[in-house]
Amino acid sequence: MQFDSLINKLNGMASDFLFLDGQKLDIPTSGKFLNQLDEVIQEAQDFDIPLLIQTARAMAHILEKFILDAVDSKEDAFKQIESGISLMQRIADSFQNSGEYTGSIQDFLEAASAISGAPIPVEGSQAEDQPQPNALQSVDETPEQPVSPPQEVEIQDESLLKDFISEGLEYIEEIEVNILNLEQEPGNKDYINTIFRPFHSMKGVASFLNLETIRDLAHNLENLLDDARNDQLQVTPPVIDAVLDGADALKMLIGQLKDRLAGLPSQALDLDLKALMTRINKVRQNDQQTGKKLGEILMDEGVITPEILEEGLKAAKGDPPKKLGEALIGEGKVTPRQVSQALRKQSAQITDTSTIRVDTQKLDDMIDMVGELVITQSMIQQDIKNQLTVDRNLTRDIAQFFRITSGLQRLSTGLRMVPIKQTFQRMSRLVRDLAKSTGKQIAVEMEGEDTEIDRNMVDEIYNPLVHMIRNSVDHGIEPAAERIKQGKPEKGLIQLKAYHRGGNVVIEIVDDGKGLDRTKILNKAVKNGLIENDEGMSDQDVFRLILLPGLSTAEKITDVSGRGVGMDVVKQAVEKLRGKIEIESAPGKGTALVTSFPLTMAIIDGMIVKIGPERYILPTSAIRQAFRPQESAYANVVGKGEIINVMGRLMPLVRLYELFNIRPERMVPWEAIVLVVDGESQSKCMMVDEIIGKTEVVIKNLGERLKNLRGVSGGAIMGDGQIGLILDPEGIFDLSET
Amino acid sequence: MDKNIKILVVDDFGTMRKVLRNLLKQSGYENIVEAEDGVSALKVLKGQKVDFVISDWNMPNMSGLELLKAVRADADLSKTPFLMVTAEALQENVVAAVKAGVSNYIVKPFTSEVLNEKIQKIMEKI
Repeated sequence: MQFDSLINKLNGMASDFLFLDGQKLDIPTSGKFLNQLDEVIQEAQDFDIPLLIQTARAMAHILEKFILDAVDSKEDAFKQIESGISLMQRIADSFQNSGEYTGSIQDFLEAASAISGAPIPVEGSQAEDQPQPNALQSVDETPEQPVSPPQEVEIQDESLLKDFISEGLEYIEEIEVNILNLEQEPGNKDYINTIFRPFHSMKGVASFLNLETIRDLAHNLENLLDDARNDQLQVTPPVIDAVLDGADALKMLIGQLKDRLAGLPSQALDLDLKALMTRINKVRQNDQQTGKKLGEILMDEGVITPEILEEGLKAAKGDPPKKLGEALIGEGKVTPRQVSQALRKQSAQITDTSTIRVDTQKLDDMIDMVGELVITQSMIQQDIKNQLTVDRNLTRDIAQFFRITSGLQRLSTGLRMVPIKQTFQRMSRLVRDLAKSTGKQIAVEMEGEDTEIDRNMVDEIYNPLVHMIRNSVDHGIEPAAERIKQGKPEKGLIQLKAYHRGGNVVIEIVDDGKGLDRTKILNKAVKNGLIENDEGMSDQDVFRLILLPGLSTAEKITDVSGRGVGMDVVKQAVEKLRGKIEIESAPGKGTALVTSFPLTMAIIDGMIVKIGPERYILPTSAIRQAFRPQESAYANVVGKGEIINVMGRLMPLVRLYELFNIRPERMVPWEAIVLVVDGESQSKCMMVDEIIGKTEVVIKNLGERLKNLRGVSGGAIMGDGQIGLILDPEGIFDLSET
Repeated sequence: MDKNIKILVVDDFGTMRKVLRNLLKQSGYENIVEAEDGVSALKVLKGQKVDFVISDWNMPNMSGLELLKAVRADADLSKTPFLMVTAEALQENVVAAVKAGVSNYIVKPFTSEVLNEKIQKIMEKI
């Protein structure tokens, strides 16, 4: 009785099949049979009847091939399925009656595999269904579907190509961003998927549009990612590089298409596609060949036997699934140490010879050491100047040594430099997301994305840039309707520009939005008591007001730029990096936020000043001018203290020697030197004995204990080996007021 | 047969939707609605009567297979003809779709004739 439901199921299948004739075995019916076979297999497993399981599986394999249109003769396949059903009925009946089946199913299995191409299982064996070697292979040579559409002319309409170009470029941008994310987290399947999908979609459309090169390239990249998705390929730097280069090449191909469509002469591409595709496939295969599985490595090492491996693999497949290493450790077959050693061996198999990864700390240490070397060099240089007689050979050798040192310095600072491209791409993505959530239409243009900045700066400038972009999207660019009313293009534009100027990298964020509203800013500033009136204030001065705390002119608080995050936060962040921010704006035309940062955070341009026996360094960027004042320019005003008249402006005088308790050489301002120094919100005059010169210094922090020293931001080793303190203007101003 | 049936085209790639629209047009189907993924396709299906679904397999949010399963599981929609568009005739994928009750599948790229033939075959049976 226990087989009743199974027998009923088989009888049902048999009668269903009886009413079909081979021609009508269509897709939905095949699906129904496949599901029924699954149920039969399930029950046969419960009753432990391997013969039934094997028969049902062999039938499923035929049906699958049938669905794929990959059987030679539909009639034979049909007949085989029919005889399979009755074979299953006989087996089930026999089990019902006698608890066993004595006949052989070998003939059936052989005939079935002749049709489906699946391997013939050993009759009655308990082994799990082996995965068919060709289960994952694509069988796109199905006769019904031609590979390339013959009617290209009909489809090749221009608007489709245009759509493909713009959508394709967007996709590539998305791919680039996600690749960078993937590089951070090589195991993240979501990222792999978000890269796989656009390649896949592009391939599909390209095949319709007869863009064969694009189709083939996208197809290669898709395969690579598919392997990564299915754990058949580890995401290593060479894989990342191949995908990035592939995306670049796709971009170029689409660009070429764009030119052709615009009627421009098509330019020869600086691109060896064949080599690229070979490389992609090589990256893909390399890993498959050299990438031994963990189990194999453990077996090679003699840590486990094949039997243990099999057990471990079974345990790993359980619920919840585990990694093989975990499963083996769990069963006490291996030690965690053995697994980790094997894993290390595994990852060492995949090495790339063109790049290596280095711990940033090591790199930083090296750059520091080179900094020290440069300083030692200048110490030697000074020592030589002080020698009365110098050996000629020594002079020559030292000159050579200096050349090597400066070469080394150039090289080492270059090591840490990366293009700003990645940062820009993240910004561009941000603009797109923000545009979507605010319902605005915004295009992004990038300029100078190859400009390099110090790797350590990348993370630091990210937040201020995000705030600025948010401001531009939220307060700058107008909604489409308003833009049309103004006679502007419907789609707003945000430009990201980067370039080097002096020792700085300049980053501009330019929008073509409504510009800053002078009146509105002034009203708010007066209301908040920041200023009394706008007398004598240029537009520039007014715009700078938005950098002050508590001045957000947005009427609407949105989730984009919100309330708390004003431009004052941006300004602070920028200044923390010793950068500067400038604002240019024209009503109705747009706003440009121009920030400039030092190329690296480790070296500053400093002015060495002398007070008494001591020397200090002031950041050159803070010094506006240096001069020896006339006696008449000096005044001591009751209640305001000492002031100097600097070209009509009265500025407080700070006597540095007083703050640091030093005996200076000069006590009166008109004999000393006065520097006009900019702080965050004000400028003051600082009095020093003399200016020694300009120098580049490597900033050292003074350590935990002197961290909170006011007026001093760090120390540096000077040319003669002495330590010079780097002054912090804002801190000095604070000190002078207490 | 009736060329006026309402066809829902589901694909995340806008250009691909346009390609499908053009191919359908060539065979005389003009009554077409679009959706960019499974989730929005389900919304469309629940909001209006759709006679035929053509869906891509690979989509974010909700894949073609998930959409198919959702359609088959919904009493009101379960009979809706469903044609799956795949990039390759990948045995694994096709079998999964067939088991989930797909009406038929079609492999990219295809011509408007092949597409039309598949649609006709499916429509004849209902």
